[in-house]
Amino acid sequence: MRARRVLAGAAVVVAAAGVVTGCSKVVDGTAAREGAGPRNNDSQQTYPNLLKECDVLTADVIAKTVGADPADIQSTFVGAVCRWQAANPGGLVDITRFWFEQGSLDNEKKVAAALNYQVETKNIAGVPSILMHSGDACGVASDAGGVVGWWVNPQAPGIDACGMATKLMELTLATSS
Amino acid sequence: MVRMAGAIAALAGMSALAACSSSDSPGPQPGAPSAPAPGADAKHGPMFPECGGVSDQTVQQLTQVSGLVNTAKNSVGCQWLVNGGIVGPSFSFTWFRGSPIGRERKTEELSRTRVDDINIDGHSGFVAVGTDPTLGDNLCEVGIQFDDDFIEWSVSFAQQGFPPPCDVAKQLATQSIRNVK
Repeated sequence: MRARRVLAGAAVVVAAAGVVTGCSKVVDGTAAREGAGPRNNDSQQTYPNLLKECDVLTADVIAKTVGADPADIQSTFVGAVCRWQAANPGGLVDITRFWFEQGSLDNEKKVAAALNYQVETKNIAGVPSILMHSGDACGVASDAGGVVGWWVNPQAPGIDACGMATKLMELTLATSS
Repeated sequence: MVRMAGAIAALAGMSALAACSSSDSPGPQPGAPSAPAPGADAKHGPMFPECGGVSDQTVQQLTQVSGLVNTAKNSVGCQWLVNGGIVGPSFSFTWFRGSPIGRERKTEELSRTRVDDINIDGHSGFVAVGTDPTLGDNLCEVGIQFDDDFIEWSVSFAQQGFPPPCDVAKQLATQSIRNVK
């Protein structure tokens, strides 16, 4: 799902003001119930992580990992697939994260082969993984919680996409263990 | 100031703010899978080509937006942004493999103006409409299920004078469905 532009902007404002702790109080107030409406009363039970899926690594950690200032990152898509764009001094970098809990590393291998990506098998933090090369872009997928993966798509050459994607995965696996 | 006030109002109106909502929750790890156990036998749908088989040129023609750059072409989809930057409209194709479409639909229901059922060429899914205070209905997302997989086309305009977003999203989804391998 497309991330709300205003949300990204607001999050930056909030973070810059240093009132992050106050934020959750605002969100947990009545506004949530009003906005949700009756048809969504059960959604928190059915999908307890709804709208939190992109938070496994915080945006500032992602920004730093791709060589960007923590202020220079924006969320563009949220859900089981999350996208961000960050400003590395060498050029813009698009970051994609996916987490398919009913997926598998085997299926990701199949898809990567069908898309003609160059695929390497490797272990990341001891977890069976693949590295996928496509032009300047690099992806990584690991056998964890179904399958979890990261793609780093730099818009300019000379950025170490595979190193960044691997680092993002190392951080993710460290977080979930 | 007006902008900021608006942003904060919108923030309060959001049903959940991803960046903030996890700190007070003792529940599962943020980002942890929420539904079925890993290793469940997923029945995957068909293979799609990169970008759902839709070319940059087709995206430009259907959206009537020029200067689009495909910034995130990879195994889970593609994203088109004007001059490659986030200022302006945004279009994307996303292929979810072993991920419940019901959760995505719930996210839409919590966030969008309306969400309805849709069926394209015998494949069912949802269509979600988002509304901008000044532009009106400027966003449309179409999700189509293939067994335990689904695809989603997202169309979001940022300036007056755009074609009906759901017409564009449905056409893009239709093309991807016909490009199934």
